[in-house]
Amino acid sequence: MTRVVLAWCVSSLVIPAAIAQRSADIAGDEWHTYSGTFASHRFSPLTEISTGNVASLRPVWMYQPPGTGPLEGTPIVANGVMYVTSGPAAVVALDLKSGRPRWQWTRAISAGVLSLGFPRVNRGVAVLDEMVYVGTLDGYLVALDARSGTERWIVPVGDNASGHAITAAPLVVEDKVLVGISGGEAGIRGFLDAYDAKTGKRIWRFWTIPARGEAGSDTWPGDSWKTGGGATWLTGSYDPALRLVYWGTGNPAPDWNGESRKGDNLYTCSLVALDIDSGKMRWHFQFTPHDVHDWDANQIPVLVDRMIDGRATQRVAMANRNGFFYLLDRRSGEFLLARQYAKQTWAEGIDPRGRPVVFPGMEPSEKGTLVYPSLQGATNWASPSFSPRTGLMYVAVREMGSMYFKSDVEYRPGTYYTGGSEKRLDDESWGSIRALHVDTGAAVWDFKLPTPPWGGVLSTAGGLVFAGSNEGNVFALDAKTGDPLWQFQAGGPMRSNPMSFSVEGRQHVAVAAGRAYVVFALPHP
Amino acid sequence: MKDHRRIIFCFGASLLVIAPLLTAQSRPLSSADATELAAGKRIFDAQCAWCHGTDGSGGAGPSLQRPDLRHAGTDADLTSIVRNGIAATEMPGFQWSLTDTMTWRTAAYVRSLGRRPAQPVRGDATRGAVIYEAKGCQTCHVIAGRGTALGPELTAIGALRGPAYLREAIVKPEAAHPPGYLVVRAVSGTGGEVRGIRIDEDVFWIHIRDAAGTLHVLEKKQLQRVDRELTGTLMPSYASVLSVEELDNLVAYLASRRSER
Repeated sequence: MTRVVLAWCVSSLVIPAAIAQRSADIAGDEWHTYSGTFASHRFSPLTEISTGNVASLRPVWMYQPPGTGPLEGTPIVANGVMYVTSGPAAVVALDLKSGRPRWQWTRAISAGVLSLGFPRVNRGVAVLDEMVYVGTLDGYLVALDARSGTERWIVPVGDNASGHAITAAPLVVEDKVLVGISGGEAGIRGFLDAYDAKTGKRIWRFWTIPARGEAGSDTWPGDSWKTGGGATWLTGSYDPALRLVYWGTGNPAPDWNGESRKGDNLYTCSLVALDIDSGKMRWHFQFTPHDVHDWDANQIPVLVDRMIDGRATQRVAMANRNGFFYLLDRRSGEFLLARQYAKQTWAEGIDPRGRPVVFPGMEPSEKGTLVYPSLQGATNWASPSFSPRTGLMYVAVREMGSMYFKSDVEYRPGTYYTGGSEKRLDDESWGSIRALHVDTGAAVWDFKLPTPPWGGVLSTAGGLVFAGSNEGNVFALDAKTGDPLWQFQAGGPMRSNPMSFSVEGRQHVAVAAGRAYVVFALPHP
Repeated sequence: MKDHRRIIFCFGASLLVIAPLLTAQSRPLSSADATELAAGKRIFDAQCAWCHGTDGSGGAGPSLQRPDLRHAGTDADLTSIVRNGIAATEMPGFQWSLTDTMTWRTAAYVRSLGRRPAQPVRGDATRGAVIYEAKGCQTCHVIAGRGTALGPELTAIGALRGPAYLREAIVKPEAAHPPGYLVVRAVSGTGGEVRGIRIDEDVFWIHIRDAAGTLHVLEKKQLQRVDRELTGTLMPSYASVLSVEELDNLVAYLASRRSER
C-alpha cells in the first residue's frame, strides 16, 4: 500500500513538471507538431527500428476514439502524452504505455454542420506549454488544458453557415496558434489566422484573395474575389531563421467553371511566405494560374537545406497536386525547377519562370474532358516525407485520370459552388509510394499500390519509410531501394500520416487505419 | 404610418427573395415548362446519359422511361436522388455540381421521360426464360437463389440495367464493365498463370476467382506480374450462339426481372 501511494505521488509530481516544458520544434523522442518539425520533413531521427529488425515489428496497442468517419489525424506526442482526434469533434489524451485515455473532450456539433467538399474529419492538434489546440468542423479554434481537457478558451474563426470549417491541425509558432480554413467548394474567401496562444485573441489575418484595389486584385473580375475560394485547409511550415511561415493555398471557386473569374486568380493554388509577426506576405509563387481542375496547392511545403555545387541553399520543395514537383528558393520565392512526377496530360511543361505551358482544350466541358491527374490530383493531403539521410522525398502518388464536367453555377451561401463534377477512371487507376531526388525531382524508386493512396509517408533514421494503403496495409520499405520489409494488415483503410516516438527508450510507430489508432513497437528483448 | 409602410415593404421584399426558392422546391415536377425541361435535358445529356442512355432508355443504369421509378415514388424522392444518389447502388449524387434549380429541372426532365409511351422491349420474356436455362446461363449467374455466382446476380437485373446494355452484355460482353468484375491475369514465378475476376487485392495479396469458380489466394511476392485486362471478361459472347429471335427473347426475359422474387 505504501509503495502504491509513493508511486502515485511520484507520478503526480513528474507529470506537471513535464507539462511545464515548452513545446518547440523538436523531433526526437516526441512528435510535437503535425509534420514532426517546422521544416515538415515528417522524418524521425529514431534508429531503434531499422531495416535489420523491422520484420519483427508488431502492434502493442490500439485505440478506437469516439466519433464517426475516417480517421485522418496525425497523433501528437508531447510531454509523455499522445493526443489524437476524431471527426466530427473529439480530442483524446492517451497514456503512451497503457493506450488508455487520460481524458477526452468532445464538442456537441449539430448533425447539420456543413462540410462541403470533404468528409467530417479532423487531422490533429497542436500543443504549447500546458495547452492543446484544436480546430472544429463548425469553425472554432479551441484551447484545452493539456492535463484535464478542460476548455480554456474558444474563438470563432469562420462561419459554418457559409461553408467555413476547420479540419487541419493548427501550427504553433512561438506564442501564436496558426490555423487554416476549409470551404473552397462553398466559395468562401480564404484566409490564414494567427491567434495569441494564451488568450485566443486574433493577432493577424492573411486573406489569400486580395480585396479590390490591393495587389493582385486585377486577377479577379467584378466581385468574383469575394467568393473566390483559396482555402488554407492543411498545415504549413515555418523557418525560424527567416521568420517566415510557408502555407499552401487552395483552388479558386467555382472549381470547374472559370467563366466568372477570368484571370490568374491570385493567390489561389499558390505557396505564400508570410512574416510571422505581421502576417504580411513576403512573396508568393502560383503553381496553377486560373485553375479549373481543383488542383489546389495545399500540399505540405518541405523546407530543405542542401549543399549544391559547394554552396549552401535554402529551398522549399512541393510535390504539387497538378503532377509537378517544384523547388523554390525559400528566401525569395524564386523558381528553381519543376519536374513531372506523375502522369499528367494538361501541360506541355513548365516555362523558365515557373508558369505551366498549358495544352489547349483541357478545360472541363459539358460533355466531359479526359485529363490526368484526376480531380484528387497526383497527390493530395497525404503528407510527403524527406529523409536527410537519403536526400529523397517520399510522396504518396495517385495515378488516375478523370472526365471533368462543367456546368452552370450560382453562388448561394452554404451550398456547393463548384460548377461541375468528375467521373473517375477507377479500374485504370493505381498508386505508389515514390522516392524523388529532392534536388532534381527525378524518381529513384517506386513502390506500387493497387489504388491511389490517401495515406501519407514517414521516413526514419533507421533507414525506413512507413506508409499504408486504402486496403488496410501498413508497411515499411527500405528507404534507399523501396523494397518491402514488413507489413501489417490493419483491416481498414489507412487514410492518415504515420509518426514515430519513443517511450522509455523504446521506439514506436503510430498510424490511424479504419476507426483505430494503431501503435507498433519491436518485441521486448 | 411610415414604420408600417417599411414593414410592408420589408415583407414584400422578403417574399420576392423567398418566392423563387419556394417555387423551385415545392412545385410538382410535372408543372415544369418547356424551357425548364430543355434545361433539364441539357444537364441529363451531359451528366446522366452516360449510364441511363441519351433518351433515358437505360444503359449501365436502368431505363427511366417508366412512370413508376422504384426508388422515386414522390417528387421529393426523385430530387433527393439527383442530389444525394442512392446508397449501396452505383447511382451517385450530384450535389457538388448541380444547384437546387438545376437539380429540380433535371428531376422534372426525368419525370417527363416516364410520361412518354414506353418503348416496348422486343421479344417474349417467357420464351427467354427457357433459353436462359437451355443455354446454361445459370452455370455462371444466379436468379432467385438458383445458379452459380461467378458473374453478376441477375435476379432484379431489369431494374438495374437497360435493355440495350443487357443485349450488348450478351453479344459483346467485353464492352460491359460491371463494377467489381475486373479481370486480371497473374503469372507466377514458375510461369504458371491464373486468369479470373479480381475478388480482392491489397498491396501484398490478390484473390482471383477463375472461370471454373475456384478462388486463388495468391501472395504477390510469389508472382512475376499481375496484369489488369481493362476490356477482359469471363463471359463468352453469345452472338453466334443465339438466333436473332432467341436474343430478343432472352433480353426480354432479363429486362422483365425487376423484383427480388
